[in-house]
Amino acid sequence: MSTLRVLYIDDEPDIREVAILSLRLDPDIEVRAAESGAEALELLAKGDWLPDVVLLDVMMPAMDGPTTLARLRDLDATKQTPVIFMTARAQAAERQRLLDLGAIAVIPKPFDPMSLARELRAMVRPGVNA
Amino acid sequence: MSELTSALNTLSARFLTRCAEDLPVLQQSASDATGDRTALRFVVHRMSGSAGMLGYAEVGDLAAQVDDELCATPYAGTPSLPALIDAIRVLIR
Repeated sequence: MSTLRVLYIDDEPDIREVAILSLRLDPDIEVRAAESGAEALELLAKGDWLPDVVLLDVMMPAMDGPTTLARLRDLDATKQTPVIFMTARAQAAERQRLLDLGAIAVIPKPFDPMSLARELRAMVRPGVNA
Repeated sequence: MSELTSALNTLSARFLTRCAEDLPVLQQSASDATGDRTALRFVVHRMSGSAGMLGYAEVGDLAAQVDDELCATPYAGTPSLPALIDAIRVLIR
């Protein structure tokens, strides 16, 4: 299976830690994490690592998920990178709003730590949207 | 024990500690319905995202209800807040 590079952005350290370990259950997923949109943009600005997909928390202080997505779309390197929102508010209307912003999918929180990597693999098909 | 399972156990214990720390924020909000709800919103949003993942479904569901109530009517009441406070009290007892 091809390596999938994942950038996980979430301000909540406990959830971030679980997500990182969950994604690493798949040995072919390479995950890096940022605690804010600003930190993610700094990481990307270095230019030595680009994700195949971004997992992005919606509600974060300072720069929320939708704002971070807009900033990612402003960068040539991540203009087309698939973004998946993660949110505790995944009702139909909110889900549709997030998809309309350009996300390819929405993963509800709480997520199942044992199946997050598998779920992500099913959403991101190399050559199609990654 | 896998690294993930070990981490979940550690985070579960940390979650309970944080619940005890968050309880005064919830109680303050419950007693002052017209006050600033920013702190309350962040607390219940964080709880709703992590409680279920760590095995505390009831607290997670109630936190999500309060989160929904805050989003629907930010300056009105949060009828599920007392139940969330009770559930947390039981959890950390």
